[in-house]
Amino acid sequence: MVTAHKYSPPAFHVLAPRIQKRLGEPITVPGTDEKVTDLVVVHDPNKCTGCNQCMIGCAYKHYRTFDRSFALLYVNESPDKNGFYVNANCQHCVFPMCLASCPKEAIYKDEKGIVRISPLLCVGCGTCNQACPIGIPRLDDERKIFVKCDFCDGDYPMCYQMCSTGALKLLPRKEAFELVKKLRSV
Amino acid sequence: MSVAKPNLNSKVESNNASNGASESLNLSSNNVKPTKYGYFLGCVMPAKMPWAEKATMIISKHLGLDFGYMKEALCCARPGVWKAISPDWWLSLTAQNLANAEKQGITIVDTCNGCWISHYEAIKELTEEPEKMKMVNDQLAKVDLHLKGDVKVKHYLELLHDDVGMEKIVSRVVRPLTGIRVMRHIGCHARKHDETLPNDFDEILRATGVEIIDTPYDKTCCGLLLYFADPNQAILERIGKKMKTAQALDVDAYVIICSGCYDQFERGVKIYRDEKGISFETPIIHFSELLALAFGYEPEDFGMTRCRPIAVDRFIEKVKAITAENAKKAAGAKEKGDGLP
Amino acid sequence: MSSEPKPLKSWIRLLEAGKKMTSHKQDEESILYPLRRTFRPVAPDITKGSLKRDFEQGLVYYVGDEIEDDRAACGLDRLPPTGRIYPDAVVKKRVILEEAGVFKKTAYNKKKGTFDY
Repeated sequence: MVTAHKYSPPAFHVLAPRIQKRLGEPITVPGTDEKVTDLVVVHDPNKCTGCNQCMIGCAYKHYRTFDRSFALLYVNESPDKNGFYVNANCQHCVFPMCLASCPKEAIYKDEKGIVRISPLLCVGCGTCNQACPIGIPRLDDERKIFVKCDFCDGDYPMCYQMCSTGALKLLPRKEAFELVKKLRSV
Repeated sequence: MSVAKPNLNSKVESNNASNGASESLNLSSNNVKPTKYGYFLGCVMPAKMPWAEKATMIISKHLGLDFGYMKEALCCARPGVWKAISPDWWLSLTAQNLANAEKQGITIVDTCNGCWISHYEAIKELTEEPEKMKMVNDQLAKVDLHLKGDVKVKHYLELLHDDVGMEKIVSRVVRPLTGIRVMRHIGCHARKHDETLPNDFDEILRATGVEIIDTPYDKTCCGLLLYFADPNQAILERIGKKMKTAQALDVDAYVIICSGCYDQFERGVKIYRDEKGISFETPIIHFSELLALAFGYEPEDFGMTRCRPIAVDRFIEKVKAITAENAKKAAGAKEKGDGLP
Repeated sequence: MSSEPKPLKSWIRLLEAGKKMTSHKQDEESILYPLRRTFRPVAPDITKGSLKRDFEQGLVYYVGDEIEDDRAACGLDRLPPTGRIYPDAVVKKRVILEEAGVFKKTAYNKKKGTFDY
């Protein structure tokens, strides 16, 4: 009989990852019928005025600074069209490419459906940035790890609260998809 | 933590209000009866654009509105800064203004988009969330104020377009400003809900007879909050592009409504003049001034030339030329009319 | 980055003014302890100027003598009916700020009119 030398991590293993590579039971947002995993932030470029309040709010919420280079979403002027602003923000995909690509399994989908990077496991290789179709995860210069949008822990996202024109919308995934299809075709 | 009730007779050390001020305080608190609409001034309007304040008062009186100042107005709790720092603090600070307005029994009227969105969103959030309302009222109770939540907030454009009505505005225009070409900037917050306010703005501007020039940078933000984060972007990419476009198109004026935006325009123009050596010539004017001119008031009535970063002399000359031309035309038409059998 | 244009002078003045009204000097500390991570206060340096004016006068801009003259020339009252002539409103505002914990969190020193950090 072969008794396998099974490795069992000690109980005090602080680095025990909370990897959960499947969608958990979504949690309802207080005050609405929506579930957190159902909701995404979508950007309507026709309404955006490029005030960058979303980026400043995000930078303040996560880093306590008004320097917008700390923000976890990006709004910039379109290179093709003057006075037209485009953005990139995390959609917390149902099947995230960043999660699939991470060699350290540091990226996980938590019980609320938010895709997160564990700061303890991340080694800052940058594979997630390469894998993400819109390159959302960025290098945090101070900690030398990659960071990305955490949907403000399931609260109303700061970018959505701060948006001065209503260009950022908090919509259920299906409606958001319809809106994006409509925007693309126009 | 127990906080003593404020001694309401004491004055803040830094606020060395003169004797003249307290006299005018007595006058305004005793003699003036409360009006239906209370004009919320905010920070920038009284300190940087007295001409716009006067013009707004003039046209409101001219249109027969029950219009006066809101007393004890403080900073609206600038949503860009306070909301980012803490939404709860923003609610507490805004609630004081709202409670004051409720006590005075007025509808708040804002010309600044920032003030308007601050009041509008705060009252909406407070009425929807009883917990927040309780928190705010606990704090207000320390200063003998209470917020029920039935105070109304209106943007000045909303007031003109919906309460006064376009017909009345058009009928009052005695000096159509035909031939004046303007670029306009309404500001971000006015676009928050839908395109109603921008459309109202255009409609009222067209009623004065001016020609509106559309440019790609009409929608672009002035960069007021961005100035804290990235000054180069805020000044060069936002104000610089706007003012350079205005210069290139040779428009007569840049029309704005929001006093927050005006603050940033003024700052941008001054920085360009002092640090880059570029001086722009397109005057930045408030839309109430255009209305006042169209209603037949003279620029001297609201001190149009005072306190300006860019001189408005050329604009005033053009307005006067247009008036003379209109008068000539009218006289010619009258002569023709007399000549007919 | 070297390719980026230098920040504007007036903006730097604003930042310096914010740093000046802070008691705890991070710049000096970082010479002594180069490995210590910079601490970011609740009120960023750049906003301290406007926050201080807001705390003291209830408004971001102060109506001074020059503007009073301009206001009079425009046909208005010399002082606006804001917190400028209603000091009680500013006192009330300060009580609300105290109650909401703003002074404590932003480390605003009411006596000196400076920020502790």
